[in-house]
Order: sequence, then C-alpha cells, then structure tokens
Amino acid sequence: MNYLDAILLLGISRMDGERTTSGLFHLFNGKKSSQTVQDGRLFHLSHLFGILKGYRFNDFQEKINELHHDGLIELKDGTYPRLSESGRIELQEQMERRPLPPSLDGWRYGDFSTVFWRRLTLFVQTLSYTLHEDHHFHPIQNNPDTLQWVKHFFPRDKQSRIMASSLLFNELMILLQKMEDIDAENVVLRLTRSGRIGQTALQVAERLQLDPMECHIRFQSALHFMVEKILDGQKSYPVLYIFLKDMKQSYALTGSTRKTYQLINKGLQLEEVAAIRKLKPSTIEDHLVELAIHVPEMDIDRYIPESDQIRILEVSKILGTKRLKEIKKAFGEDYDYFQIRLTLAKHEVSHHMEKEG
Amino acid sequence: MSIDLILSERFGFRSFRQGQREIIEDVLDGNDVFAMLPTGSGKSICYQLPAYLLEGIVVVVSPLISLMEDQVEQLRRQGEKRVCTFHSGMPYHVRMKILRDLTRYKILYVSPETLQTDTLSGTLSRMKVALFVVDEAHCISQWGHEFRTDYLKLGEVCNRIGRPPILALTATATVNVRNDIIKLLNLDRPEMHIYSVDRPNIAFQSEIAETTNEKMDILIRYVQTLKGPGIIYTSSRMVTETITEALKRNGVEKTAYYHGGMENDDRLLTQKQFIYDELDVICCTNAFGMGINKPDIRFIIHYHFPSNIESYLQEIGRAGRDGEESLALMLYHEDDDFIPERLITAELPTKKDINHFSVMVDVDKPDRTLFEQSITSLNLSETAERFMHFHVEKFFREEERDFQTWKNQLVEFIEKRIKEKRERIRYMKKWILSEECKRESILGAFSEKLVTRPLNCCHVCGLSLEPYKSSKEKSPRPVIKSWEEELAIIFHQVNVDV
Repeated sequence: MNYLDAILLLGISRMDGERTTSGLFHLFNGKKSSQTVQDGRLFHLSHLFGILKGYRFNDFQEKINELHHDGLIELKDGTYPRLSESGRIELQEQMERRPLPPSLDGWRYGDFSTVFWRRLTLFVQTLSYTLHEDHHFHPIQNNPDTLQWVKHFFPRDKQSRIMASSLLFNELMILLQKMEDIDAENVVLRLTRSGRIGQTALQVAERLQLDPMECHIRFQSALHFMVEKILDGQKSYPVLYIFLKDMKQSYALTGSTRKTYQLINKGLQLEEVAAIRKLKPSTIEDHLVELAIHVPEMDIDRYIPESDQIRILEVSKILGTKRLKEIKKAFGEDYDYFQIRLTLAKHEVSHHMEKEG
Repeated sequence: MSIDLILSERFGFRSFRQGQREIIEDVLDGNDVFAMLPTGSGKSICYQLPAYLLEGIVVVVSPLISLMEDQVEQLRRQGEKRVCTFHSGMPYHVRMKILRDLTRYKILYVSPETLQTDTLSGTLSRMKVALFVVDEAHCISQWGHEFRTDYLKLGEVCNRIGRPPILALTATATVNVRNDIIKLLNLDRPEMHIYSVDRPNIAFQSEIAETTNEKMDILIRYVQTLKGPGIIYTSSRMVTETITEALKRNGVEKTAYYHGGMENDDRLLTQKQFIYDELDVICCTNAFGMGINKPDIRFIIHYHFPSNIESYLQEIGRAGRDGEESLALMLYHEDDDFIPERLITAELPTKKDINHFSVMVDVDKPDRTLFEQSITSLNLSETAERFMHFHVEKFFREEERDFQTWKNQLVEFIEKRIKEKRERIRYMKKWILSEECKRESILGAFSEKLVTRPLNCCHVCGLSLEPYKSSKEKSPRPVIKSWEEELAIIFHQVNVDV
C-alpha cells in the first residue's frame, strides 16, 4: 500500500461515514469554506488541510473507488465512506510503520509555508547567482507577488548581500539541525543555487528513497516546523522572520469572515450584517460558525441559549453522530441547522484543545 | 536616424537578417504587414526597431505571459527601460501604475484576454497607438476558434484603439491559415513577406513500428544513442510518465517528464534543469516548448503525431536554433491514429450537447444567466466550454436574436471545424506515411518548393545518423554531498567548518 492510500484511509476513518467523498476531498484539497474548516476541527483533520492541493476530484474519486474495490472501505448509503475491518487493520499498520510527522499543521501553516517557500527559494537563488556575478539567470518562480517581494527586499549592494547570505545560512542551519537529517535534506535539495537547479518533488523522493506522498508530507511538515519556529522565536531568526512578517495578521480566518466579525462586534444582528454586506444570511451563518471555531472569545449564546446547547450536545453523544441531519431529525423543529452547527463547532473546540494527532 | 544606425546602436547588430529590412520599411510606411519568418530568425526586431521611429506606443499581443516576460527581460538587458507587460497575473497596484504612466512606454506587451478589458483598451483609445502587433499570429487560427476566443476579437479591439497599422508575425502558417489570419484581423491589403519555413540543419527520420512494444523499444534505442539535449513529444500526460520511467530503467538517467498536470513549482524547476543542461531529455505533452529558448536542442522525437502539420513544424522548429545539425524523428504505429481524432472531438461541443443545451434554456425568452449556467451543466471540456461562452456572448450581442438560426449556424460551424481538423490530421498522416522526400512534402504543405537540398535531408533521400549520435557515455547524475555541505555551498560559506 502506498502512503497516499494510507492518508486517504486516515481521513475516512476520522470522518467515519459522516461525510461524503467530496467532503473529504475539499478538506484535503484545501478549500477555504466554512464547511471544510469546521470539518477539519470536528474530525481532527486540520493538520491535513490542503495536503492534496491541486489534486483533481476525478482522480480522488478514482482512488476512493480503488480502496472500495480492495475492500478497505465500505460505502454507507452508497456515498458515505467508512473503514472496513481490513481497512482498520491496514491503517493501523501503516500509521505504526510511517506515522504522520508531528509538526504537520496544514490549516495553521499551509498558506504561510507556501508563500514562505516561494520567497525563500527565489531569494536564495538570486543571492547565489548575484554573488557569482551572474545577473542574467532564469528565475525559478514566476508568481508576480513573489517576484515583487524579492525585488523589494533584496539587498542592493554586494556587501549587504554577503551579510545576508551569512545570516541566512546560520539561521537555516540552526533550524535544519533541529530536524532529522532526511528532512533537512528534503528541504536543501529543493533549493536552487548557481550551478544546480533545485530538485523536483519526484527527484527528491527518488533520492531519499521515499514514497512520493510520504516525501511530500515530510517536506510540508518540515516547512510547517520552520514557520512555527520562526514565528515563535522572531528574535532568534531575524532574517527569516522578514519572509513571514507581513502575513502574520492573516491568521486562520478567511477575509470575508473577518469583516463579518468586525460588524458582529459592533453589536449588529445577523440579518443586519447580511444586508450591509449584501450577502445571503446563510453566508453570514457560515462565517459565525467559522468564528466559533477559531475565536475562543466568540460568544454564541445570543444565537442559541446555553441550555439548548447542552441539549444538542447530549443528543449528539447519545446518537453517536455529528451528522446534522440526524441530530436535526431528533429535535424536529426545535432548532434549525445553523444552531446545531454552531453548537457543535463551539464545543468541539473547547473539548479538544489538545493537539491533534 | 537611419534604421541601420538604430540596429547597431540599440540592438548591437551590424546588418539585418533576411527579411527584416523589408518588413521594417513597410511597417514604417504605415502599411498593414503580414510576415512569416522561420523560428529563431529575429522576428521581434521587426517591431522593436520601428518603436524608436514611430510616434506613439507599440502594442504587442502575445499568447503567453512567459513569452512576454522574456521579451521585456531581454529588452531591459539591452538597456531599454520603456517596455512593460500588462496581464492579469500582475498585482492590481502595479497595473494601475502602468496605466497612469502608459504614455511613457514605447512597447507594451499584452495577452489577447487583457486587451479586451475596458480599463486597458479605454486608456489606449485615448492615446496614440503607433502599431498593433500580433505575435505568433497563427494562434488566432489554431486556438482562436475554440479555446482562446478573445483572439477572434482582436480586429474589433484594434478598431477601438484607433485602428493603427497592423503587423502580423508568425513562423508557421499554411496558405489557409494565412488567409484566416488576414480575414480575422481585417488586414487592409497587407504587404506579404513570406520566407521559407525550411530549416536545412534539421534532418527528418521516421520509423513505423509493428506493435506498440516495438515502438517503445525503438524509442529507447534512439534515445540511448542520440546526442542530447532532446525533447520527446507525446499526446498524454500518462505516457510522458511511462516513457520517462522506461528511459531511466534503460540507462538514460537524466530524464524528466513535463505536463500541465504537474505542480507549478515542479514545472518551473524541470524547465530550468533542462535549460541549464541538468537534464538530457524532457518527455512532455505539447504544454512544453513555447517560450523555452534553448539554442542547442539536438533532437525532437514525436512518440505520437500532432494533429496538424503546422504544430509539427513548430515543435521540431525548437531544435537546432544554433544552426548545428539536429534530428526530427517521427515514430508511428497505427494505433496512434485515434488519438488526434479523440482530441479534436473533445475540443468542441457535439451536436448532442447543443440539442441538450437548447432544451435547457428558454428559447422564447433568452436569459443570459440561464444560458451561461446551462453551459456549465453540459460537462464539456474546458476548450469546448470556452467555445460555448463565446458563441452565447455573440448571440446576446445581436439585436435581432433568433435562437433557431443561431443554433443551426453553430452546429454547422462545428461540423465545418471538425471536418477541417480531420482534413488536417489526414494530411499529417499522409506526410508520415508518404514515400516521398519529407522535406519537399512538408514545404509543399506551405506551398513552397525546395531550392537546395541539404546533405542530410531525410531517410527517404538517404540519411546518415552518425552526426546525431552521442560520442560520450551519458553522464551520470552529479553526486550530492551532505546537506550541511550543500547548504554551505548555496550560501557561499565554503570556508565555514561544518
């Protein structure tokens, strides 16, 4: 079994027949919607958020079909995948042999590390070539924002370039030494310098003799680790911190949700926010659920009284499900979907503050 | 200032290459010009030089952002700062700044899509545009009808910005395609400058395999012996990967694949590795090539044949830009026939799709939103979807709309396009299987006659493969040191003890 299959099994085991294939796909594909964000929390899969970015749904579906065909999963009601007994054994074996790296946190650091890596690789390439007096090299990034950023921050004269080079070397050395050698190598091989273009994902996997998916996940995890350390210890990594500084405020929340949050804080009602923002009330509801997940001080009592929250949580526990439909059915018209989602979102977080594994 | 003086002072050349002077003179006279010059012959000077003499800005329409960036990059290196690109990938504030200062620039590179935007065309319409250039003009005909339909609107935009003289440039266009370009761009009695598409330093070789296994064996044998670097073209992403694995297993270590389904980062790295000679062989779909400026490519192999002879010529034209001997090898097996056929039918909606569409929309009260939504639910290929959007837009632009007429015309148009495409495939295949001189018959497709036959012409005329063989063993991959040592090299910390 390859590592991609193992990751899929892990996702399916966590969702355990409560979401369709596309629910899992959106999460792994890194879709920024309130629903996937919630699912990430609810099923403890946030660390794998966006791990299959760029993957096509058809290919994903194909993989799921293969797992089904191999008897590793069952399809509840035809569309809700859950593990079969042999799937469970297989997953356990896989995770014992090749556990997920502990630093992996796609939801928190995925976006940061993408931008960080683009900037770093281009900056390092430019540094290496200009120090070799080669000013006509072919840049290995083409994203206009990245090009713009490097242009802006790149040191103007030779003396400061030499300085930047030595500082960056030291900071990266310290960071990389904290990792296993294979992970440090995974990072360093991908950097481009004068005389050697960086290796592609596949080339690195071949060299390190890792399954491509395992190599990818280890690399992502290494980046997340670096970003986390840099943000935590700005003073120890002053140069690398520059690569992240401007992104820090965009922490976790989507842009639109942040606007909604500002209005809610001014005391506006849900409908008023919807009217002002010219959005559907259901969209604002999505934002509120997202806020309930990410903002600890977010108070949901004005949308559903605390006693009712407790009722909902109890029923969810008794039924042993987080599926909205089933919980809603149990209450009839007492609560709407929004109230149930909000309650689950809020309490899921406070009960699981511990790190996801 | 004379054009000879500008050529030497600005571009550092002592004399013009074939065709350049004549084209430039016609452009300076204010004529519409159609110019066909072989790849690597310095087409861009034909508008870059007049930019110094004409009053106003030169607008260049180019199909790829990377091509535009390359051109701008190159001009800046020559010391010309008054050039810029304008495309959707640039940050908003940068674009706005360019718009504000547009009169400062001599040359502006744009994609056909961005040129349609009101902000840009509006600004251009209020200033003097000296010349309207369409680079790689065959794209109009090749792509315009289906998936880059903005190409079809270039004539209109050109009118909106004051109808400056137009220069259409291409490296490969058959007589039909030329006429198509002239019609679509509305060229006014253009001066035609047509130069031979012949590339005497590229020799033609084909091999017809009995089985697909045999084809793979032939491929491996050739790649093992040929001098690199080289490109192998196939029609599918999966095949690029299969071939790459097979080659690596057979000792051609420095091989990588390239296709549109890869991560952007990896695509860029693969390109650059090839450019910097870290790879000997790239195995790719036709997504690879345009904008890759590598002068010393020694062979182009087609594992699958392209759907028309112009594409073929474009693809082999990437070999031997340095003028050195290069080889174009075509591998064929009869199972390959269905591939281009499948591609062309997927590029357009079928009659069934159109019928389905007319059931979904309200024919009597046409509603734009419903029309657009119905396209999505047809589940078409990306190309076919763009095609539908373009024609729906056209429908709503007409003052007197009649759905039935529109529909009939559309179905007719699609049938006509498919027929044309089939005809072009048939022609391509005929060329592959023909027993006549490959060079003569490819020139024939462009209504040309062969003047001088090179010594190494094609396998029909007799071809020695010796000049194309590699004299040295394929070099193994470089040994990479420990990551600490490597990191020290990256940052020039060679004296640091690690």
